[in-house]
Amino acid sequence: MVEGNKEEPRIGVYICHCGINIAGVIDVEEVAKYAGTLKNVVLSKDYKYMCSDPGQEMIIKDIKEHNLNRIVVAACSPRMHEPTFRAACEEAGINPFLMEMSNIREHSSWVHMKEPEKATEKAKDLVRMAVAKARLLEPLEKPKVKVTDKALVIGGGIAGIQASLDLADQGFKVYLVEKSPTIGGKMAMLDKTFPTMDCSACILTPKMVDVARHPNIELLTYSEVKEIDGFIGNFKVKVEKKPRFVTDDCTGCGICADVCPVEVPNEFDLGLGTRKAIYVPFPQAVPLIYTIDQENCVGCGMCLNVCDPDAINFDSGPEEIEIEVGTIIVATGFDIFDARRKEEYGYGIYDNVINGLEFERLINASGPSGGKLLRPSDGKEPKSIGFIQCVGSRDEATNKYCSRVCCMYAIKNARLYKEKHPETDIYIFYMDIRAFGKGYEEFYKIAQDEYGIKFIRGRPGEILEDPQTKNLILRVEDTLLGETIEVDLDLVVLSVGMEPPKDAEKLQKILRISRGADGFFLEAHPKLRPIDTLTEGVFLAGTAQGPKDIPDTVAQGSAAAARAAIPMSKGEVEIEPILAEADPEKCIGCRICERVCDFGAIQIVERKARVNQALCKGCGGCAGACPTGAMQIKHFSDNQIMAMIHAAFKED
Amino acid sequence: MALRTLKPKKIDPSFINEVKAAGGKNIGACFQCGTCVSSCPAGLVTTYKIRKILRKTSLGLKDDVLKSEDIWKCTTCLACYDRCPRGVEPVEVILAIRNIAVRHGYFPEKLKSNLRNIINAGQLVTLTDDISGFRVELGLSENSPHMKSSKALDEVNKILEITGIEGLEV
Repeated sequence: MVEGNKEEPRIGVYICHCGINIAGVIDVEEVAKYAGTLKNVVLSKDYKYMCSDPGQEMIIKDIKEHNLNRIVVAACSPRMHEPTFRAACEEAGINPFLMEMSNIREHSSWVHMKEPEKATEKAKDLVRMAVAKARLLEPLEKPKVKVTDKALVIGGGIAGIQASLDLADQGFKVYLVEKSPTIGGKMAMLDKTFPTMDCSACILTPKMVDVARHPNIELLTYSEVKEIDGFIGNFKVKVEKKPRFVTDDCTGCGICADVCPVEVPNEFDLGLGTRKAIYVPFPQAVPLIYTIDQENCVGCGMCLNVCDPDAINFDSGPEEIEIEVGTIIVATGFDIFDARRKEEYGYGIYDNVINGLEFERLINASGPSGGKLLRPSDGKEPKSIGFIQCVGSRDEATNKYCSRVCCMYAIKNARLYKEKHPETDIYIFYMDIRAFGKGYEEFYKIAQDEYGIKFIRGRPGEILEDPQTKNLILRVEDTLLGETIEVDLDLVVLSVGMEPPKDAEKLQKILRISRGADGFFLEAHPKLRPIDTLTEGVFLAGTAQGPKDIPDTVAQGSAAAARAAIPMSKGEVEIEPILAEADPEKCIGCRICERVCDFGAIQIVERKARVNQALCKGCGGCAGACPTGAMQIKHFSDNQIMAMIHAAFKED
Repeated sequence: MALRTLKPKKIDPSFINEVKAAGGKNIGACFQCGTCVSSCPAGLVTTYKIRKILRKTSLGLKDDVLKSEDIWKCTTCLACYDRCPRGVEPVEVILAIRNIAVRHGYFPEKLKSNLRNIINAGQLVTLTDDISGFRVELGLSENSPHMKSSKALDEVNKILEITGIEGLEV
């Protein structure tokens, strides 16, 4: 497979008009004419849309008729149409890597719109450079790697549950790793869900049970991913199972918790209720196996005495297991914004200021108060409640983004309370109401019209507390009225937004994926590849990628399963051949490349650098750092790049 | 002119840029949430609404803004600056507007007389017959020593000269 390798280059150059995107600025005919004068260029043409069917056909025909062995397409960014023109070359029977693109749109016509003559000159320069490189192009073969048909799903919230079930139903083995003692995630903490008012637990728990029963799912709760090695199709994962001190023999009867003398705040109820040192977070937990919380257990052994199936084992310790998977789905969810950071609202200072998730727990029948919402300061029923929107969202000082669920959960919670307590005055203080989902606007209208919830457009400046009554005085400008008002409230609920989990950075390093400016994991393309990451074989689901409501989270969970299934169904994947390669003749084993490689792709074996093709991303860091020129990136070799630089400064 | 008000008002679309250049650089980010107004101690007891000033400035209602007495009511306490979710730094905007207003000759009489005192005496509170009388009653000299200090006045004048305040018509 060396067509054109040693023979004289016969180059075809194609200048695309891109409608008027290029031709409206650059004199494309002149550029084509100029290209025809360059050495080795057999023919050069311009055409309205090179990416169109007739455009591609033209290339294919010319390759065959004129025996072309190198192609230069001067058009848009290679990120856009490189695959298109590579495919055309392949169809015409030449190696797809013998095609070079020159970006005269983004790099010339768009940025020099007001200087058409100079833009045309620059386009000529760019084409001359591409031709210089094309002369030295080498054919490349795409390496293939086998894909293990097992998946790892990190995070057992609704996104991870959905992704696991969808993959398992397709017949793939799934390891679902969850760091807390139960799956269910944040959704398990919610009361009812907007806009249909389904009880959250009622729709979630059947899916949790399905996960536990599914023969293809291995559930690893109270476990954390510690290390990931390898690449798409061949990931090696180390998972640490934290000691539960209770074996699988546990029947979940709960007698142990009855006798346990240690009572501590229950994280599941955000500390509003208590649990014992031996506990399940909530009655429908999956798996229904008790956990001894090592930090708080006093080791009295009371549980040991009452446990009928003898499931308690104080001698266990952390256990490390190793699994091999082909794909990974990251569904690690979110943390709620810590409202103490907005001091002016007094959360953590005033007793009667709570956050939205605490409100969910307090109105939940299986919550710490049995569903009775009582004021923290005096246990009385609140007669007036204010919800403050955008706490820790849309705020330069905290999180700049909109958290997308707070408008709807506040309206939902307001409606739920008003339904049972119609005499209560409820205010929602908002900047904009974003009721964008299916059925959301209708839900909002009913809240306003039928429930009489008062919506005040203004972001409160501050809350004061009456030290005697612990009542709250909220100051806000009703911006539609143009008046500053004070509202006396028994309870204030802060609609806190979503944040990336605190350990996102740790996981990012383990997975070697990117995060955006907002801290959430970054998708490969915001529109066309919203599930993929830039690391092949690693996919995103749910709020790990950004704030989302439940419908979107579930949809993305299914989408991630579908994406992950593609390489696993195929059984093998092709990887880009634009990779590093070390010439053992020139390599002196200095290890500089090994240190600069961000992907762990280089190993020094017998004092020579060796590149693991499946791990290499072709970033070129090693090639730049190599002091002897031993390390080269294929398709971007030193001689190819030097030829382009020479061409940039010198006419042919 | 694309934008009109139904009541005839002059609109100057470049006013916002003038304010940005004078120091209120973030005014364009304001989304009218009202956090500034409900945080503003001056606004609680006066008609001053910083949000409205920002709005009018953005729309180019230059005369309305510059002639307004409200722009002089900000105490620069920085509560709005601290709480604004868009980082508008409203205090910087108000200071910029004040500077422009003065350049256009809009300068409240009260502030003018204060400035006159500083120019003439080097300080805000000047010696009146009343005060001299009190001083004598209390067994002090008629004039406080530093009020007569020509060195202090020289130094104040230097500041006025450098800042360009000296040239203002007061």
